Amino acid sequence: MAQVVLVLLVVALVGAGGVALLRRARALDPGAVAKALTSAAVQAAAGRQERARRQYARLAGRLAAAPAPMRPQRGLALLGQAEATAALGDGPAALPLYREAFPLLADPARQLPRWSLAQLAEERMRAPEGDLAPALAFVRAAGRGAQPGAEAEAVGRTLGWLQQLCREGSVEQRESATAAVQGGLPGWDWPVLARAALLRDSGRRAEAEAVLATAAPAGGAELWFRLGASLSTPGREAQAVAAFDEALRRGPGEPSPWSRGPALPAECLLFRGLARQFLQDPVAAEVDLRAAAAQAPADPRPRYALGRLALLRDADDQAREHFTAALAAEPSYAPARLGLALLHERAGRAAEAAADYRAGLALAPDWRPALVRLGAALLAAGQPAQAEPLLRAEASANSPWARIAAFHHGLALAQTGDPAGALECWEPLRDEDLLDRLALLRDRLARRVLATDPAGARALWQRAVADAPAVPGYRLALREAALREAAHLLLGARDVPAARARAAEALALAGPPPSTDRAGQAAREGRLRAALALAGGSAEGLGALLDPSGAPRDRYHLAAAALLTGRAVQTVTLLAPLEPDPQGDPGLARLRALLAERAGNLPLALEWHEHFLAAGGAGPDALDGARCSTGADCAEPAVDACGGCGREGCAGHLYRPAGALSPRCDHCAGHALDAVLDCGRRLGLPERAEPALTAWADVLGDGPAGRTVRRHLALLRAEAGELDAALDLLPAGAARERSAVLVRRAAAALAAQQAGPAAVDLRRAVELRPDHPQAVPALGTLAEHEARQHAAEGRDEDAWEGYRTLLLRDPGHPRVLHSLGLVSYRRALAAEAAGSAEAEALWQWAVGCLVCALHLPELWAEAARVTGRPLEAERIAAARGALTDRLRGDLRELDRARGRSADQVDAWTVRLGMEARSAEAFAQEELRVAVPGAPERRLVLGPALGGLLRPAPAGSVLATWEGQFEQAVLPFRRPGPFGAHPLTEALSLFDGLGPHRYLLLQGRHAAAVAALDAIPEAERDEAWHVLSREALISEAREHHRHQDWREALDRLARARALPGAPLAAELSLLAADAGLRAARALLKESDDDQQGAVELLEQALELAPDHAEVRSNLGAAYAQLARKTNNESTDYSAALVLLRKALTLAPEDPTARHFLEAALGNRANQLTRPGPDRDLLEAVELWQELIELDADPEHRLALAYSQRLLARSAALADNRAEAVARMAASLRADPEWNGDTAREAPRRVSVLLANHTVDELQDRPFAERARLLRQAQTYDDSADLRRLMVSVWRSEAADDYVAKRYQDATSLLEQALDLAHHPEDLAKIRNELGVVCGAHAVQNANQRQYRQARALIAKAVGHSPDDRELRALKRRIDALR
Amino acid sequence: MPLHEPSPYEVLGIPLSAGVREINLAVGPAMRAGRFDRQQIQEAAALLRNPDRRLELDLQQQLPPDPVDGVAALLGPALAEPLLTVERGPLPPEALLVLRRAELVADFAEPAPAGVDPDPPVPARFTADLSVLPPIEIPE
Repeated sequence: MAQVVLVLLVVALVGAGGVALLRRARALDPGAVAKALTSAAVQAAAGRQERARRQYARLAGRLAAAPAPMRPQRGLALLGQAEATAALGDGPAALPLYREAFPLLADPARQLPRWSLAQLAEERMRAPEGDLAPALAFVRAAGRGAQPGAEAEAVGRTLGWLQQLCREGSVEQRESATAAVQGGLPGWDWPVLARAALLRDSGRRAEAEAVLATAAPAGGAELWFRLGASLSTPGREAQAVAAFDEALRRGPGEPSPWSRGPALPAECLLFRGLARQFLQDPVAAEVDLRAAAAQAPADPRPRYALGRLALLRDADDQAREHFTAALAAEPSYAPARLGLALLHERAGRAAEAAADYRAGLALAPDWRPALVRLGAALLAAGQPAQAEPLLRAEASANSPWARIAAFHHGLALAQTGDPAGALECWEPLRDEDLLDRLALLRDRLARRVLATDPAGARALWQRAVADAPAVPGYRLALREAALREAAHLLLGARDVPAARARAAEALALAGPPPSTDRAGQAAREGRLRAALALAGGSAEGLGALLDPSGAPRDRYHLAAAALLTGRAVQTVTLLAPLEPDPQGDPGLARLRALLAERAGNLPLALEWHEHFLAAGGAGPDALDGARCSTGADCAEPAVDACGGCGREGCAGHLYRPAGALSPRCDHCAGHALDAVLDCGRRLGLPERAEPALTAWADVLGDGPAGRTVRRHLALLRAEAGELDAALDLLPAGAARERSAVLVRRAAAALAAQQAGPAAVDLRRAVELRPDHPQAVPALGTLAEHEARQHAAEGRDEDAWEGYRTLLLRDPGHPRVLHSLGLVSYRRALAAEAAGSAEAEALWQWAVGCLVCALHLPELWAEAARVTGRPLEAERIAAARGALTDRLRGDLRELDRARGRSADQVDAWTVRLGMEARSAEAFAQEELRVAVPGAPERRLVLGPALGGLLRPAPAGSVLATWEGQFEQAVLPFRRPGPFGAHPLTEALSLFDGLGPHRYLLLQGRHAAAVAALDAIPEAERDEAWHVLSREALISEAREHHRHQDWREALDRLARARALPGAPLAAELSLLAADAGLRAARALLKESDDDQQGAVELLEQALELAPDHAEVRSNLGAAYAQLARKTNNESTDYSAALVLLRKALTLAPEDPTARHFLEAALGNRANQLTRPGPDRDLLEAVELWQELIELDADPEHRLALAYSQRLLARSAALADNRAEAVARMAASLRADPEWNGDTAREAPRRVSVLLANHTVDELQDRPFAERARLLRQAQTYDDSADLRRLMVSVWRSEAADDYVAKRYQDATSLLEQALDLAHHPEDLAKIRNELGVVCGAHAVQNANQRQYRQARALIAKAVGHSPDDRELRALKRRIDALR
Repeated sequence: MPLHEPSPYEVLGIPLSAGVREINLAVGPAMRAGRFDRQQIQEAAALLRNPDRRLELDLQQQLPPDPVDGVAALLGPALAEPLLTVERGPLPPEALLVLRRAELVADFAEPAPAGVDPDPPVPARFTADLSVLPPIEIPE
């Protein structure tokens, strides 16, 4: 009870505390805080600093978690706390409070004491980063009224630090600092100047100007000056002048790094003067500038400005005076030095100007205009070499002065002898004032290139004439250049139409000849025009252009033109004055040759043509860097000129045989050699031409002319019967001629009875001319000869192709078959040695062709005919056998190399065997087939050759052959009534299972079966099943013969497993015999192997199910195996299965019956135990079966026990009917029971459940046990069962009481009270209910649930009215309120 | 199936139809010819003297094809065609043109000087002016 009181007290205290907290929480509103702040301030004002400090501290603490709008009030609380703390003399403790209050206050610069602001500013300056507000607040609070001494120094330090932040650091840092300072120090000029400077530096001039314009009205002179400077741009000079006026009127602001200080008035005057100068007010400008010069005599700029002003007025003397004065004020002032230089240049003193420009540039090296003028001055002073690099650099610079620099650069280049460079500089500057200079430059340049590039010179003079048409010299020069250009074009490209067109244009451009030397110029132009006409293929009108009395070449061209136009007499007349000279001009020799030919004097013509080829003519010309112009696409330098036509050529395109006096080009040599050959043949003396052709064939090489000459020479030899030599000499491209010569050689070979070489030549001829009308049919006739010739000369591939083609046209040809087999064999060996993949196919050709050919009698007859020796059948058979054996030996080696055994279906020996067996079968029949274009042939075929010939392409000869083949073998496709014909068997080898069938036919049953087994499941068809069954049965018979009983049985079992009819009776007997013998043999070896014997006999029984001996033997074997299983491995179930099988096969077997009783008992005992119903049910059945065999009372008791276990299982599953029925069956089985089964059965079930609850479920939850006991109560509600239930219920209630689950305990006890009938039990339960309810009442009282407590204590007393303690407790609880 | 290469017939230089007498007679000349060594010749002769081995040998080489007739007649028209024909037309005018550099260069002449002022005045746009004087910058 004491504990109850204590609990009550604690609860009361907690409630009071909660109320107090709620009251406090409600006091945090702005009004109340203001009131509290006022109260604290009153305390501080009354000098009660400690009390004030506490109140402020409390308030600041409470406001720490207050919402944002109340932060200023917290700042005030902290400020008050700090002030009170400071007032108590604890400054160090006050500073952190000020620091905390600073960001919370609205205006800390006013609210915080200056000493604290100074401290906070110092802290900020020491910190690497942070807000500038403390420093700005300090400057704002003390900046302009700082106490001299420490405070003023602190202000100075802070200002210096802030200005440093605005000047230094990155743009981002300066941006942040200037913005903060400008905002934090309103009314100060320097933050505005700093901000404007930053904006200007970062390219934001408009923003800078806006900042200045905003701040200037309230600012000082510095701001106005900077604003004026910002406005000093074209178009705004008037505003700038006004700003400078205002700057001059206002006083200077505070000094700073951005202010002009004392120099500000003079600066204002200077820039106002400059602005006025731009405003075209030189008088006012001069006044300002002079005032500025007076105010700042050491400043050179006003003087310099005055000098420029004077230059504008062309007052050069005044200007010199001002520039000199400026230099006196500051000798290093470059602009004044440049002013002096300009004065010198204007006055034509180039050297002095250059010197002053140099001096000025030494001071201001980046001032580009001065660099340009320096270059111009140097040029004017006659120093172009020094000026050129300077001007080149400036001309290429991207500056406004680059064009001036370019002009002077061109001038420098022209002066230094580079007119092309000068032209390049001046063309971009082209204007009227530059045309005469441009024409002059082109004239110089053209004269320079005229000798080497007349076309370029002509183009330059064309432009010069266009730019300066009034200058006559340019026109004359243009004519010369045009004539030269035409001459050069004719010399270098007479064969190119475009070049001839350009030459004509040049001649037209040359225009009329000048008055001076008119005749000479006309002859020159006529010569060129005549050459142009001949080059273009026209010989007409040359008489008007050329004069025979002029140059010798003019006479020659006139003679040639006369000959070309059919005026041979005129040619003769023109040539008459000239002495014939075989060594002279080759051109004349050619004219004489042509004249002789025309006159029919072929010997003379031949001689002059030979003279043309060998004559020398003029000596070598000066080629002047000319290129090869022989007509070939060649750009090599020319080394000489053709003696015939004058074409200039390189070493590769001019030809000169030994003895020739000058070289010839392709054109001249080709024409002349054709003429020599033609004349020789027309004379009937082709050998006359041979020396010339031979000599030129050697030197002309592989070009077109060389090939033509060699072709002619070769054909000359062919005509003479030297066919081999002709073929050697013919060039590679002469296919038609080579083909013709080959045909002639083939004809010669045929005449010599050499058909093979003839066929080879014809083949080559047809390869060169596939449409040769005579060679193609001739070759078809000689095809076999050709193939044989190929083989004889080792061209096995060609031979093979030839024979194969022949075979496909005539598949039964014995000689072709034989030859193709031999060639295939040879190629297969070679392919094998080379590791080629072709070997496999070639071996197949070799086997197929050779084996079949050797079985053709016609082949042997052919051999006899060729050798002239008759052949007897025995010798033929022996030879065939020997050859086949040799081939087999090769194939055996091949199989061994490839790891194949002779029993494998893909072994070459197997394929050879199949081929030989098939060929032999065919050879025994007189089957014949015929194909179009071939005689009827005997049919001999094997699977290998058949696979190569079939399937045949539709419509081919082979397809016809295939059709006839099928017709011929049709009668042999199916076995006859008297067994399989050899040919039928042979035909069965042609399909996919042929090798397997062959192995079987050969008696290699095991190999056949293994090969059949190797075929994948998916590929097995009905044919496979039939063949497998046949193979297995054959093998089984063989095994039976060899007394391999087990193997024989196995093969028969496998055969039976295959689809098809059941095994024949004879095979069943064979299987039974094998099975019995195998089992006996096994047991003889090991009498303990009952299992093995059973398996063998089972197999035999499957194959011979009605065989009595097998049945009886298997039954006995089952019984023995069951005994062994029962006794040794104690697998009673398996033993029972075996024994039942044994009794099925041998029902009267006493041994089996005896073994069955034992096994039944063992198995039933094994199952009779608490366990799954399945086991128990089986046990019941086993016991019942055993009782039927042997009604032993022990067996009945065991059956009763089994049923009892099943009854319990059903009761636990709440299957009442099953439980009672099983219990009744148990009672009936019990030999000792003789009572009322129907009445006793439910009671026994109830007892079973109660016992199960007590024995098995004692550790399970109460609910489970209670449910089972209530279930037992439904079977039999006996007094004993109820006492058991009361005991269980009370026990559970006790556990609940201990765990203080009083309500549960009370409920259980009340249920127990209902169940109990025994007085003793009733008294105990009521007493326990009193205790539990009492404890429950105390628990409720402690929880201040007095009403429930009072009800419970009353209930307790009701159950135990005599319990004094309970009554006393009831009084105390009743007294609680 | 070892192939006999060169063929014993080739070694002895005899035809397929040669008899034993011809074989014996051929040994001496073959030895003297020296184309094959002694052992080759003796082995060839021994092989050909054995009828069975000779029969096998005969079947290990291609049998000669049947002779053919009429092929020469087939080729007749081809043989009648001329082998060499020289095609020569009349020479074109350009073939008779002779142009020699020396003959043409002999006509060349150097043009006379043009007769103009070698140094015209500098255009005004490229002469000196006040742009060479730098402006006065406002100090920052």
